[in-house]
Formats: sequence, C-alpha cells, structure tokens
Amino acid sequence: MSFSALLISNLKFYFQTKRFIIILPLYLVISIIFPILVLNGNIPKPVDVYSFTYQGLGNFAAASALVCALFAGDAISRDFSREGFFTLTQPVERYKIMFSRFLAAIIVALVTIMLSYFVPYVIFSQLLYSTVVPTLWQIAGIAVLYNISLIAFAMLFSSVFRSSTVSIILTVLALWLIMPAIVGILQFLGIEPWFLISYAGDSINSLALQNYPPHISTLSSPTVKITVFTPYVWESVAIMVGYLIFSLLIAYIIYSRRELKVI
Amino acid sequence: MELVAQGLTKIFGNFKALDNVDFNIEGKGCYGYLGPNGAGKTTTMKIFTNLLRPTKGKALINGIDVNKEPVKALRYVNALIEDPEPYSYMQVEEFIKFACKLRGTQIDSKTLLDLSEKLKLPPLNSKCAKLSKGQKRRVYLAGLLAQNSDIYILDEPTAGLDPEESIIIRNILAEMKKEKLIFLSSHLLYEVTQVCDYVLFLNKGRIIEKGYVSEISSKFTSKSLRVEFSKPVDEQVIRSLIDSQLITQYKKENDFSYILQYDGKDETRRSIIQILTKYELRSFFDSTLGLEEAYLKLIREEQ
Repeated sequence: MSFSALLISNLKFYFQTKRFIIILPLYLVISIIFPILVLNGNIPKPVDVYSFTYQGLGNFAAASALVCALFAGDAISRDFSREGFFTLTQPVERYKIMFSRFLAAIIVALVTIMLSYFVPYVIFSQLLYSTVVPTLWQIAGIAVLYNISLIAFAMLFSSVFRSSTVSIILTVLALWLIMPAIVGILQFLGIEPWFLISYAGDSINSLALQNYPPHISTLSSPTVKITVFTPYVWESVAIMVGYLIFSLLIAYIIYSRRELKVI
Repeated sequence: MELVAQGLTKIFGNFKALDNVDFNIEGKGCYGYLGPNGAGKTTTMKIFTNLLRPTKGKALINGIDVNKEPVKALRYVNALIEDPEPYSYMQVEEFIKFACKLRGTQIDSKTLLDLSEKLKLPPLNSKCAKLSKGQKRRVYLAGLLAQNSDIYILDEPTAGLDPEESIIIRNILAEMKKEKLIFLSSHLLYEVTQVCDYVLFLNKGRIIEKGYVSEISSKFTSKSLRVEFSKPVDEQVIRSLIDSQLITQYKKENDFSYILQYDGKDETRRSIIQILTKYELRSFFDSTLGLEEAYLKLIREEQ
C-alpha cells in the first residue's frame, strides 16, 4: 500500500516538473530534425536503414545521460529539503521510499526516451525505408538497461550530495564531460575503458550497423595511431548491470544511514 | 502511549547537543519541552522520529527503540519537525489522502470535511505550492491528524505563524490532548502555559527541571512578592532589604512597584511587609509571573 502510494506520488511529481514538460518536446524536436530533413530532401538520404538508424541514434547515449541525471539526480537529495520531514518520519522503510523513486524515475525517463527517440524513429524508418533494423528490439533492450543503470548511477550521486541542484549538475558533468573525456584519453593510450558506463553505451548505436564493429580497431594517420574499442554486447550488458547493482547498493547504504541534521 | 529517553546523548563534532537526557512521559496529555534556542529540543525530537541517531542512549516509543525498529515505532507517532511542508505538487485533499495511504488507512469525506472545518483549511483542491506558510502548516497538521496516531511529536508547531493561525493550532492541541499524548517543544512560554500540563526544561542539552506546569510555576514564583506603594519610594529603601538579607534580589517595575525575591519563608515575608508599611505600602501579593519566571530563573541559574 505505502509503496504504491509512494510510486504514484513520485510519478505525479516527475510528470509535473518543468524538467519533464520542457525536455520531452525538446528531445522530440531534436530527434525528428534529422529524419525530417532527410524526408524533405534537404540532406542526402542515408544509403540504407542501418545507416539511418546509426545516425539517428548518434546522440542517444548523451541524451539518455541528461534525462537520467535530471530525473534521478535529486531522487534522494529531495529528502534533505522540507519534504524529508514528512517522508522520513513515516513508518515506511527507506528502501521502499528509494525504490519507489527509482522506479518512478525509470518510468519517466523511459517515457521521455521512447516517445522522443524510438517512436519517431520507427515511424520515419517505415516512411523512408518501409522497414526497421532487425536489431531494433536488441537496441531497445540495451537502451532500457542503459537508462536504468544511468538512473541508478544518478541516484548514487543524489545520495551523496545534500543539494538537489549540485547532485544533478555533478551527474550531468560526470556523464557528459568527465567519463567521455576519460574514454577518449584511455582509447588514445590504447587501454580499454571497460569500467565506464558511457563506454558501455557505445554498443547501442553500434548495434544499428549492419555489421557490428570489431572489438578493437585502429585509426591511423601518418603521425598518430589511435586504438578504438567497441564494447562487446555482453560486455556492455555486464558493465551496465555492474553499475546498476553497485550504484543502487551504495546509494541505499548511504541513504539508510543518512541523518537529517540541518536543512 | 509512552515516550522514554534513556541517557540520550548526541554529539555533533565537538558539540554536545544532548547530554545524557532521561525522561519518561506516558499517558494522554500535553508535555511541553522547553528551552532556549540550541538547547537540544529539536535534536531530541529528531531522534524520536529517527531523523537522527543518538550517539549514546535510547529513544523508546511504546517500549520500541525507534532507532532500531523505526517502522514499528513510528506507527504510533505523527511528527511535525522544524518547518515541514506538505508536498508542493499535491493538492490539499490529495496530500491528506496520501498521508493516510502511507499508513494503510483511508479517510472518508465526512472526516475530511470535519478536518477542513476544524483547521480552517484552504479549498481542498488548492495546490499546496500556492498556499501561505500558515495554510501549509495547517494542511500538514491535517495530514497528521488524518493519520490519527496516538502520539504527536510537535516541534514549535506555531513558529512563524500569525496570531490567528496560532490560536487555531493551540485550540486543536487543547482538544487533541484529551485523547493523545502530545510532546510539544516551544520557547513560547505563553503557549506552553496554555496548552501543556507537564513541562521539561532543557538547557545546554540537559534536563534541568521537570514537573507539572502548576507545580513548577508555584515552586519558582511563591518566593516572589509584588509590592505597590501609594507614592514613589526611594530605591535605596528596597536595596536596604538586600543589605539586611531579607530579599535576594528585586526588579523595579516602576517608581511605585517592585518584585522582591526572598527565601519563601513566612517569617521573612512578614518582616519585609512590616518594614515596607512605613513607606505607604498600598498592596502586596505573591507574584504570579508563572512559568516565564521559572524558565528565566532556571536558565540564569544554569548560566
């Protein structure tokens, strides 16, 4: 009873936030610009549905990171506002409070991502190529897992920082700036960044290609030679599951021990 | 209905917010928890609602250690700590119903309307975010009342409210205490005198006095005598009473009246009056400053 009440209240909270109201149409516009330009002939039509999907999902990982940070970045730190004086003094286990928010954030993030990316993609794919890539369900599955893991990761940040704004900003920075920068540096040094979730996200649009890229490839110019790693699909899943379990566990340990000293 | 503090101690870094606090309050009624800012009132209440964990000691609610079995213990408790607000994204009615759902109960429309009337709630479809501070407080309290627990832990429930709103809340408390145990912190002595039956004084994290409001008031004020003269009296006359060790101190109200502190003995009282009759003493009676006087004396003694 209390869990469903909490879940419903959290869903209401998220669906009423300015974040959701702004980001859904914004993402929708961003994701349909490319297919509309293709449809209107403003830019050349990709040779096949594989290239179209690959290009269409080009910014998917970054978009997911922002959505997850925005929706889960304050999931726990919210309790360190006045809201916590009510929520935390109720006879409800903290794991129920945390998981209701986790689930609500997943639902809102997935609704945003699915409505703004996958639904338009399927529609435009059908319009332009009368088909979709055969790996669509695999892509969707990994994308869902990626989003769930990112939400767990954002919740970890949210459990550490008292301020919702700080935790959201730091999650965005970590996923948008720090991790991609580390991935770039490690690839340059020839080290596989297997421990970074943003690396695992690379498999999402790689799956859209007709032939999944080799695990290791080399880009070379006369002066520089760069090793490019593409995660195996199983490897991506393992990294995402690892992030999911580790982040949730640590977030819960911190949350369950956290005291509400001062607001 | 019982709240027990056993050696409650809470240390924040180098600061001891609570120092071995012991008390046992049980049964219906209103129990005031008094003390100046920083005395440890909110810390105690946060420990009793599992928002803080004690460094040492136990907080028991109906015999259950709230920090070990919070869910079990908090079933008996409703709490208003610091400056809480109903969820801003909910409507008034929605918040009250949500509060009930969290406890696995429901509220019927008649009870909801009764609550709304009693607490003078804003329209039930108003968004909580748009309410005034006082309205938010009343909506929050309505949520707690709808949950209908046995014990209410209220941390300065009228703080920051206007006089009319404070009266509404005080009236509700006066009614609630007939059925419930209310543990109320405040530094508004007027409020405590009006609502509470029993008080615990806290200063610098320690309980320095406890007892029934009437007992404590008389304990501290029976030693005060208010004297009034028909014409202004030279303060030197009053000072001479200190020199002759009949009074310990005095407070000048104006040129005609003074409040004299003495040892409380009838003999001393007689001697004081005997001396002062020479100076056109018009009236004298035991000072009735009540709890406020007791509070100030206790705090000063501590300092």
